[in-house]
Amino acid sequence: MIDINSMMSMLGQLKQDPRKVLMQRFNIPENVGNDPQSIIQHLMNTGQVSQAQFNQAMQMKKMFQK
Amino acid sequence: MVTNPYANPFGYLPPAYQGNIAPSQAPIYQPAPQTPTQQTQPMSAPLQISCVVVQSEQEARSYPVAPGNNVIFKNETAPYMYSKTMGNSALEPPTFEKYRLVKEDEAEPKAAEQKKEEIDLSGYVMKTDLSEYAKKTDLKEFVEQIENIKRDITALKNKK
Repeated sequence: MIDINSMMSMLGQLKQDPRKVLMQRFNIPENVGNDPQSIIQHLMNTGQVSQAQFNQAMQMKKMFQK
Repeated sequence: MVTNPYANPFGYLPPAYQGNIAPSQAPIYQPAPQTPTQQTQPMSAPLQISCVVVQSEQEARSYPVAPGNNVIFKNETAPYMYSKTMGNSALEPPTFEKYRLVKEDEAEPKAAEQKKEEIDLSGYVMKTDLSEYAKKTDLKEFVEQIENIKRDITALKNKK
């Protein structure tokens, strides 16, 4: 059963401060830099993202850029 | 659960339409039996080697690498390859190495050809030459020292 109230509050938070919600979702501490490089390095250091996953994501990004 | 988005969810390809088919004869779509999903590799897999195409050395240097991993880069604008390795700890600084690619028209030289390319030693002083030279210099010094002693003795005699 989905709690509509909690869903609405989450959506409201996401609208207000998407970065904060994502940082909480992926357990990224405040002292990690606000740039993608630092965040991905933290995610890899903590084992949440593997090198292969990151490489794959970068390949996809390059494909879309072309 | 991860499923292949391109797989046919019904596990059945319908035959080409062949006119009117009675409802009882119509193909019955059944869901495909669920196959076990692919298990992702554990995060602590030792040294996953992968090659990434980059535009510049700076891009390779700034490319994030997970701890205990090695990434090889190929520069697509210059004949260089790079290697970036992270230690098992995130605190260790990464090791960055740069390699220049050199095109070789011929195949790898054989061992016999390598022997031909031995260094010409005629322009070098050999160890034996040096030892003979050392002997000569030793003798010269010895003779000079004797002559000095002789002079000192004669000088002393003259004073007396």
